[in-house]
Amino acid sequence: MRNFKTTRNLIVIVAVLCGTGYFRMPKEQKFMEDLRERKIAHPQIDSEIWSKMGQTSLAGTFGGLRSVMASFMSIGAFDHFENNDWYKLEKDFEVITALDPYNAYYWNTGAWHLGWNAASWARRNQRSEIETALKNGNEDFSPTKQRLLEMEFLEKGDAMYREGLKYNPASEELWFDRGAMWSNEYKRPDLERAAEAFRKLRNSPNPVYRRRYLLTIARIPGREIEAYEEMVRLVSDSDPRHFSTPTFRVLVLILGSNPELPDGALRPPVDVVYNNNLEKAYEELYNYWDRIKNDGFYAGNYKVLMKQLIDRLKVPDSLNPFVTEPKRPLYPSVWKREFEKRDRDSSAR
Amino acid sequence: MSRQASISFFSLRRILIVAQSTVTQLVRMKVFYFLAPIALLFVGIQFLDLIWYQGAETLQPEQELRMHKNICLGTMMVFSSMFGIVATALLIPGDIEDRTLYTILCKPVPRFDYLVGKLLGVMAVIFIAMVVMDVLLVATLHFRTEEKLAEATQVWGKRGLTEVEIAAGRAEIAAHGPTLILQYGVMAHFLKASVIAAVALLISTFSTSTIFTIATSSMIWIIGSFQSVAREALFTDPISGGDPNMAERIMNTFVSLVFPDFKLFESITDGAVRAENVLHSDMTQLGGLAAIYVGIYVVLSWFVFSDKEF
Repeated sequence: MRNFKTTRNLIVIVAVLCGTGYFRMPKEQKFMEDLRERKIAHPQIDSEIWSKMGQTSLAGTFGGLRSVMASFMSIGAFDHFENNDWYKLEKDFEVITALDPYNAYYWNTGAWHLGWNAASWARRNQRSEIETALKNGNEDFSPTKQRLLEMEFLEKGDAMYREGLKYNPASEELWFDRGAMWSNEYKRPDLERAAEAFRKLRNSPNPVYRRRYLLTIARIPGREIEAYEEMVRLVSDSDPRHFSTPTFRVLVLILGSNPELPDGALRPPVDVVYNNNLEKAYEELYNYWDRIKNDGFYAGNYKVLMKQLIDRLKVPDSLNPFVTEPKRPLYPSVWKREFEKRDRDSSAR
Repeated sequence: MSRQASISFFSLRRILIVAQSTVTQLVRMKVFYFLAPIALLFVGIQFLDLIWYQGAETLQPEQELRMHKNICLGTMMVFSSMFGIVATALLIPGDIEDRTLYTILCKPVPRFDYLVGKLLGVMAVIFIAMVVMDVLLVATLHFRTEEKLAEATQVWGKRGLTEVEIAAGRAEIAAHGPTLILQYGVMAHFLKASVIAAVALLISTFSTSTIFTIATSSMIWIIGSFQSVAREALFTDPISGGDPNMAERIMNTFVSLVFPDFKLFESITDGAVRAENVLHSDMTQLGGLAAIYVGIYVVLSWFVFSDKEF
């Protein structure tokens, strides 16, 4: 009798749950879809990621602690960074970002570890291996092969930025850091990719982010006219902070000096840009020499601009980059010292 | 007319009396002592640096506040759900053991009132504990938010940001502080714990041991967290792999129909932690859903319990 009752009860319970579930299920699905569309609910975790999860994260996820697990895992993943265990770190961040994909911070941190830290580690490692190979006279050694490791991490970092941007397209930090990675002179710059990322920040409220597109395309040969147009757009921003940046001030002059610009194009004169402070203008243009040579910035009519200032300011040969190759940046103190030296020499003569 | 027939099926007064006695019973079990380590944790994380990737150029105050909320809300969820299961699982066997049940049921107290009263008692204790934890969360988060606001304002001021930009940045940080949306997250945890308690109540009506009730309810808690995976496989195309076969379809349908969907509750909390736009209507829907779940489980519990012999 007791067994009959238990069986009957179980049948009734299952039947009622199934019956009510039938009506409940579409409503729950609709609610979930609505939450997911509004990015309140997380997307489903891919089956590939399930297999990469450890027991703890799996239990945490099942227990409804996805975000909490992601927080703890991101703190734990720091150990892999300290131990240069990059593949484990990559695996951890794949899980972390799958657990909390709408948190741009995790994508950014993962990409930073892979694209910046791991790639730098690979480069340093590569340099020491080259040195050892040269010391041992190992002719089979291929630096190209070694470079692949660095490129692998850069690409992994880039992939993480791109994936993160799919979930967080409004994250300015992700766009900026991706662009910064590809425009970093100490890595393997790919300015087209950097420009692609910085382009998204042209209307950012942050003026530093807004300027980066201009600063990047000014380094890409063939995009000078586009850079000029971007410069004009930023000037029309009327944000005084742009003009507090030396490179921006110089670019206003340099891009405006492009001989290929159509007639009537805005070509701001040096006196206007520098508010008649020609010494400042010379100092910054002198320092731009290094930007042209090492960073590949557009040269425009640099020579003409410089020669005009050299004549007007009667610059000594020691500060003339066409006579004395610049070795270090020109600071006001150096400027003052060299001018005093010139005056002393001329009075002695 | 017999005396039995004159007893109304449902009496709010009777239910409240049973609920009150349940609260007293649970308080005597010193359940609130659990709050001491939780308070320590909430206050302790106030002094922990939760962010690794931070420097002058990567100021992440929102992220730090998110982590703070994540840890606190996660703790609240584990506590409330565990408490919902364990407290409910202990109640009926406890009443049988100390013979309180016989005293109650021999009085004109319908079994339905007894069950609802017991559940309400557990829910009341969970609610009180949640309120205490919520006050702690709000207080610690408030201090941390103020600290982050001051820090960020100082940094932005040095960077030369305009007042409008600083105000916008401050608003963004403040959105991650103690807000109404955060309260929605806490409420979602309470609703989830209530449903779990109702599940445990249903199981305890036919279970013969407390361990069985706790273990089975915990399993349902876990299954409920990925019930939506099974349900979505029925409604949407699979993300990867081929179409599910017949056995998988049957399994998915069974899981979707029988088990509650806790992912919905968790999603609201996750959204609240991220300061997403969780609406009042979302809470109404969630509350309605929780009420339906609790209603179904209570009715089923009563069905099993109504002719149970002691």
